[in-house]
Amino acid sequence: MTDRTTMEEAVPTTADRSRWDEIQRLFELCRERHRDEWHGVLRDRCAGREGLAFEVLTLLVAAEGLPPLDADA
Amino acid sequence: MVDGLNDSNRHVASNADARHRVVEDLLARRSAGDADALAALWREIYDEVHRLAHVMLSREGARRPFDTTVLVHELFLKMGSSNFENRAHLFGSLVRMMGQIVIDAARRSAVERRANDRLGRGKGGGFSLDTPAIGLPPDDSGDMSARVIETLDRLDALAPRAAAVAWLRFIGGLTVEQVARCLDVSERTVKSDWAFARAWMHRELTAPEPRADDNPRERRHEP
Repeated sequence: MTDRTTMEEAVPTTADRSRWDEIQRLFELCRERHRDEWHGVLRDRCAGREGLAFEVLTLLVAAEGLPPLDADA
Repeated sequence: MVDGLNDSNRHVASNADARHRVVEDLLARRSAGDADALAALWREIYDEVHRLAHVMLSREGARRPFDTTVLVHELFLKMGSSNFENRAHLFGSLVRMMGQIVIDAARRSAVERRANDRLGRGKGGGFSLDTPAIGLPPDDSGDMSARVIETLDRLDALAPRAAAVAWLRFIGGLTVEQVARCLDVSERTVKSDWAFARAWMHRELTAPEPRADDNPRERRHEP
């Protein structure tokens, strides 16, 4: 989750951007699947990077509580 | 009826084609250095631009930062030195410029709101955004809108395209199709970015404040 306490001075690096690109890719990959499959996808693709998997998982859970995308297209 | 078009529909389509050709010709004249082409181009597209500006501002209702005509005139000042390859590029750029003008106004409004709050001057102006789209209650007071804008700024630093989509959806009130045209990406990309931006914003705006001994930065970087 984003660091609010140091937000002002935290300038994203290229590594941060790459990481967020990967988070968004994984989010999209899982979003199109049933939640039973999320853990398998994240386990396979985030081995040794539990923080990344946690980030994606929290976003997927957040997305579940939102109105359908098509409702406001 | 021939090819599914009756005479009336054909007449409308042919008028639209003719207007498109006029705009393309004026853009070509402008690129070639014709000093009068900009004014003629502006007269030609004025009604359509006005309609777009009206759509963009209509969701703000009484809270809108300026009226449609002011937005259109701001836009004219902003487009003066820009060059456009063709009609699609022209309108894509105009919608983006309009969004930027409205976003800048929203940012100023958020800053004023925070200043007014600090000085105890009451709520003052503000922007009401479609907060239910990100799973939050309707923002009747405009209080949440300032936080949404701050959150969008943070998203912009991490995922700029997703943030741009969210800006145009939230502030501009554009449809998925309009955003796709504006950013020159597919509708699928817009939907994907919008889904990601909504989830991220919802999580950020509903997360509990970090504890003093909590250091999220450590969670952000794996070993």
